[in-house]
Amino acid sequence: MTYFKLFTNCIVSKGIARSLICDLQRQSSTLIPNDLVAIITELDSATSVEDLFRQYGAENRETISEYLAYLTENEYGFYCESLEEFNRFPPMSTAFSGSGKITNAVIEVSEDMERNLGTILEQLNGLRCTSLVLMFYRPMDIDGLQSVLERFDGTEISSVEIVTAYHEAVGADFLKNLNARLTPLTSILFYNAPFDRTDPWDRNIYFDVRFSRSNIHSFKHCGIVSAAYFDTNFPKVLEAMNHNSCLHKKIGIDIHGNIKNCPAMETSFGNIRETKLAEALEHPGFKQYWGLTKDDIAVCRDCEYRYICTDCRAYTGRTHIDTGGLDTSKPLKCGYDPYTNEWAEWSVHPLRQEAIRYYGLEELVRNNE
Amino acid sequence: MILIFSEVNDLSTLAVAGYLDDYGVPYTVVLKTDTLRYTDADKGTLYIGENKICLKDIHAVWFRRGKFFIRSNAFKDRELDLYLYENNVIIEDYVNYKLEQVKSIGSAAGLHVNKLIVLEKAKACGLTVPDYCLEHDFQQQDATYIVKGVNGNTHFNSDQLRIILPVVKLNDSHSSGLSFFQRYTEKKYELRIFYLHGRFWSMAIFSQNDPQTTTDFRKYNKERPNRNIPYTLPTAIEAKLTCLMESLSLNTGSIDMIVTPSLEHVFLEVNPVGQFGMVSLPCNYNLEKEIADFLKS
Ligand code: SF4
Repeated sequence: MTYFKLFTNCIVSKGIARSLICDLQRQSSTLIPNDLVAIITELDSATSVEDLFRQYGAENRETISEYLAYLTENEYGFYCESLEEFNRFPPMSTAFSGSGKITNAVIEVSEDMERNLGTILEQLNGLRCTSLVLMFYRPMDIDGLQSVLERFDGTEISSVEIVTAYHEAVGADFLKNLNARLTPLTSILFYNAPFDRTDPWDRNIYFDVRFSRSNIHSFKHCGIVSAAYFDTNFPKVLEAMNHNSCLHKKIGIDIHGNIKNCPAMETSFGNIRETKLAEALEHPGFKQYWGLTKDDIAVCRDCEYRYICTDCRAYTGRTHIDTGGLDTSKPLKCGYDPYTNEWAEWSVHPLRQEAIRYYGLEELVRNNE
Repeated sequence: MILIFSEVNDLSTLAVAGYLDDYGVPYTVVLKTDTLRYTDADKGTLYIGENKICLKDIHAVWFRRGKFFIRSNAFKDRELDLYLYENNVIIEDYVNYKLEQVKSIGSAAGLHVNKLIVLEKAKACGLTVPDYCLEHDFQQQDATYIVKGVNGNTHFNSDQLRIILPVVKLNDSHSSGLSFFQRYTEKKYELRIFYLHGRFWSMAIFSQNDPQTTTDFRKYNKERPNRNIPYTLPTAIEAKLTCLMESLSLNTGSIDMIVTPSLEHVFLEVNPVGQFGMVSLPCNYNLEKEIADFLKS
C-alpha cells in the first residue's frame, strides 16, 4: 500500500469557500480548492492512495491523480511506502514560543515624552522588549533624531522603526548622518513627502527608507488589512494560530503618555508619568486580547487568510461581543469577504458607516478617496 | 546557580538565557574572554572576573562552548612558563572534573571524538554503518566508495566531497597518505538528530529530489530548499543510539543518519558539540526551552 504525506511544515488553513496552504518552510502561501483539502485530510488520516481512489470511484480518478501530481510537483507532499513509514512523520507542533514579557512596543512620542525617553527605554529593556516603533507626529532634525538614537546605547533593543514628517533637509546626507554610529534603526518612514518611494537598506544607508505622501498625524491610519500585508512568516503564523497576531506581547504608549496594549485602543492602564510599564502589564485587563485568535473572530474564522493576516482590535466592525466582553468583530478596515472571495473598498460599505463615525475616521476615509 | 560556558552573541545561548530570565533562575555565562580563577576556599570557589561563585551553589553546568581554563601569564621565561602551564592544566582538569559532577550538558572533555572508534562502537551497539576501509593507495576502481577525511567530522571534506559520483578521483596529495574510504549509501532521506540525556529530536531532510544535493544537503539550494520535517526514530534505533552515546560517555550530541530507499537506518557520525538550532527551528521543537527546563529543574 502507498500512503501520501503532506510535508508537516505545510499547514492547510481551511476557509469556507476555498483554502490556503501555508508553506512555513518556504514562507509562501498558495490558494487551493476545498475539494483538495478534503483529499488531503483523507490522506493525512492514513487512508492509502489505493483506498482513496477506490472511495472516490472511477469518475474522479483523473482529478485525484492531477491533485496528487500537483502536490508532488510543488513539493507539498511525498509518498510513503508503508503505514510504518507514514507514521514516522509526526505532525509538527504548532505551539508558539519565545521568551520575554514583551516583544514589541509602539510609542507616540510627544515633545514632552522625548525628554524622558531614556527612562521609558530602560523600562522596555528591563521587560526584554526587542523591537520598537517610535511615532513622531512632527518633523525631526538630524540632531533630534541622533539624540533619540543615542538613548538606545546599552539596551538590548535590536530593531527600531521611526515614523516622522518629511522636511526639506531630508536627503542623502541627512540619512548618511544617521549612520554615523551603530544604532538599532531598521527603518524610517517620512510621511507628508512629495512622493511615494521605498529605498531598501544598502551599503550606504543601513536601514530601509520610505517616503509617503500620506499625512500621518494620529494612529488612525493603522489597522488596514490588505493582501499586500499578508505574510507567511514561520514564527508569525505560529503566533497567529495561538495568540492575537497584532496585540500579543505588545505595549503601547499614546501621545498623552497613557499605557495601553496599542496606542489606538481605548483602555488605558495608567500614565507613564506615574505608572511603571511593568505595573501596567500586571493589570488584569492588559492582556485580555492576547489570546484572542482569528479563530475566535467573526468572519475571520471562516477566512482562509486568517493565519497570515494581522488583526486589529482598535478599529473593528463593532458587531460582535463575546461572553467575556471582548470585541470579536471583524477588523473594520478589511474589505475581504471570505464567503465570496471578493475584495471591496471597506470604507464605503453601508454597514461600516456607524463604526467609521464612532472612531472618528470620516476625515481619513475622505482623504483616501 | 547555572553555569554556562559559551561565546559572545551565541544565539542558542541567548535564547536559552531568555527562558532562564523568564523563570527567574540565576545563571552565569562564562565567555572565553573572561579571566577565571579557582581557590579551594568554601569547598571550592570560582572567580569569573570579579564575580565569585561557590561550587556548591552550582547545580547545573552547560558546556556549550569551552570549559574552565586559566589564562597563563607569559613571563617570557620558558622554564617558568612551562612550569605554570603544567600547574594550570592540573587545576583546570580538576575544576572541570568537579563541574562535571553536577547535572551537565556536554562535558569539558568530550569535545572531540575519534571517527574510527565511533564507527566501531556503533557497530558494536548494533547500528548499521556504511562499509569503510583505511587504505594507503586505494586502487580499487569501485565507484561506490567516496573518500573522506579520516580525522574528526570532516565528513564532507570540501575538496574531496565535490567528487561527483560515480567518478572517484583523488587529489595527488592524498594518494600517498592514509585515506578513509566509505561506501556511498543511497538515501531516501537524511536524518539530523539532537540527543540530550536519553531523549531524541529528529529531523528528516529530503534532499534526494534535487540531483545537486544528493551527496551533501549543506550545498544548499536556495530556490527550493530541501524539505526538513520532524521525524520519529523507531524505538529499536533509539535504543542502539543510546547504547552508542553511553559507550562514548556523551550526554548530548547531534547525530547524522541516512534512511535508505529500503527504509534501513544507517549511522554516519556523531558531533558532540551538537548544534541544535538547525533541528529546533525547522521542526519547531523549541529545544532552547527544553534545555532551559533541563538546566532549571
Ligand atoms: S476577513 Fe479580512 S481581516 Fe479577517 S482574516 Fe480574512 S483578510 Fe484578514
